[in-house]
Amino acid sequence: MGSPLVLVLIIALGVGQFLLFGALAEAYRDIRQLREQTGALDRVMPIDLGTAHGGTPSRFGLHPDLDSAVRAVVIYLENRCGTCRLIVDSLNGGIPRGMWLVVVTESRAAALEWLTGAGFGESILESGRVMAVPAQDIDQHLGITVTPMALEIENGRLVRATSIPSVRQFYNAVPTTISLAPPTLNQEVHA
Amino acid sequence: MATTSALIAIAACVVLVWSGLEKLRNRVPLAETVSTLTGSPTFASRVAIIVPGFELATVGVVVLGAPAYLASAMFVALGATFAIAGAWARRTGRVIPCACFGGTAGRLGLRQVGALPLWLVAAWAALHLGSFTVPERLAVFTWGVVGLGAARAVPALRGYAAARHDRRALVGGR
Repeated sequence: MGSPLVLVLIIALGVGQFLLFGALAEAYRDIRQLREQTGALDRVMPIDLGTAHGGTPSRFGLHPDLDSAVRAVVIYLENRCGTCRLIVDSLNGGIPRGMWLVVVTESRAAALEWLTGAGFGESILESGRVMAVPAQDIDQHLGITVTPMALEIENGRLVRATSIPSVRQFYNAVPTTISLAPPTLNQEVHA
Repeated sequence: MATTSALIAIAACVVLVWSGLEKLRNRVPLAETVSTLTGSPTFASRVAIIVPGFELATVGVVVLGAPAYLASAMFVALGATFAIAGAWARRTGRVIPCACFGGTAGRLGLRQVGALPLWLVAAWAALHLGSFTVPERLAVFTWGVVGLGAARAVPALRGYAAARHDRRALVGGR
């Protein structure tokens, strides 16, 4: 059962722990309220596509291959935006399947420098999956320049656009692609 | 019978420890509630110290084996005070936040009136603790306090996980 002195000591420690955890829970609640107040929450916001909704991607300066895409996501990044930097750094020089990048920069050279700084190869802009365009072009085509932004394409049509506030939301935007492996022939049967 | 009484009384003590410590740690919710109810901030600031102090004193009286009638009377006093506050708040017709457990989540009203029988049960249990020695009471109470600490850790750990998740999402890093 333990001596009364030991029990009193355990009670004192338990009370201290209780108070510390209480203070900690309150501190986290305060942080949460501050985040809510400043709008620093990790939530995607829908962006109105206006007349671009339902249009074919190539009409808006995107790669013509997207006109036949069943499902794809185009991510607009800017070389001066902090979250864009985090996103491009998290890619480690590769782009997830079904995803395309549009880098909004003043020049192609600046885009290349920005991408190579994040681990992409020198030939990344020739791959077709990454485009470098000036902000004026985006304004002209979509009427909006929000970065980072995800533009979703379904069955060759622009369907929706959302802001990407974090790396986590970027990976949530990666389209799920299902690929069927070609049937393997049973050599014994066909021999 | 005696074991049941002991468990009820110690459980009531654990609840009072939670309530008293939380009210002492942050006296503002209780002071605001009493101030809204009575209209006297000076009285409210005194009550914000007296009530949690009384709650913790009740625990001390039960666990340290003071006369049973004293512990019983203190439980009745606490229950009656909370019930009167609830009825008073109900009568004013205003929404007055309850400072139960130091927080302000609920509304002061019928719930406090309805809890009066529970306090009376605790008072009855305190009268039947005679056969238990102080070390035995301390031992049971220790387990209660340890459980209390563990229960209090859960919201803190959840808050930590949420804050870490958001920090990693917004600014990156590990």
